[in-house]
Amino acid sequence: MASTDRAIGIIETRGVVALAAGIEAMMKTSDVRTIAVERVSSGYLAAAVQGSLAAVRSSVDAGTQAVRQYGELRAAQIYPKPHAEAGALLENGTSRRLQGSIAALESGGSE
Amino acid sequence: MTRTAVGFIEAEGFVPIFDAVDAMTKATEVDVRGTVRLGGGLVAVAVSGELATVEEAVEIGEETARAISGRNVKSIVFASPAEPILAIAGDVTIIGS
Repeated sequence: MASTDRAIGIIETRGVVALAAGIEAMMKTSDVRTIAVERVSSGYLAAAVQGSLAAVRSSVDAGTQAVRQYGELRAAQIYPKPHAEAGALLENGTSRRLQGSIAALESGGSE
Repeated sequence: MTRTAVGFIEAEGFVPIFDAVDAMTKATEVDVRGTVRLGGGLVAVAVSGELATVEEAVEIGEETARAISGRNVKSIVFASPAEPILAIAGDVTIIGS
């Protein structure tokens, strides 16, 4: 990963419908990776994306618009150069789980 | 590889979602991926399948849930979901219990 691709953008929403709308918009607007989904509580969820600052900026803009359309936006922030310790706060194990998606969708049952 | 469509419905309380799942599975062949408690009384259900099936199911599910809960029912359908959306639908424990 290039050192310039370390900007982080975070959006926080209430509910999964708004969160999913935000993630979808962020992923499809520019070249960013979804690195974490954070469960807060009381229905609040946050998603973090990483990429170049310009990509993160445009994706968070698109994400906030999509979230407002579908529900409640709590916060949207961009961190151009997050400190390693701040970045480590997002390492909650969801990054890996968000990658193995297709396998999860195919192997999981439909109970 | 054709990606499946994914839909989410969320409502306040368990009963609207239970009713939505019941209506969706009776009316369509949609796959119910799981329900998840997001906290604060919010409950969500994820479904997947062919786009037409998912659209129909989510419409039926949302109507059913709204008939009980009255308000605060939200839904969304992704025709060609991005990777993290697939991951969340495939394993809803990522976002709740």
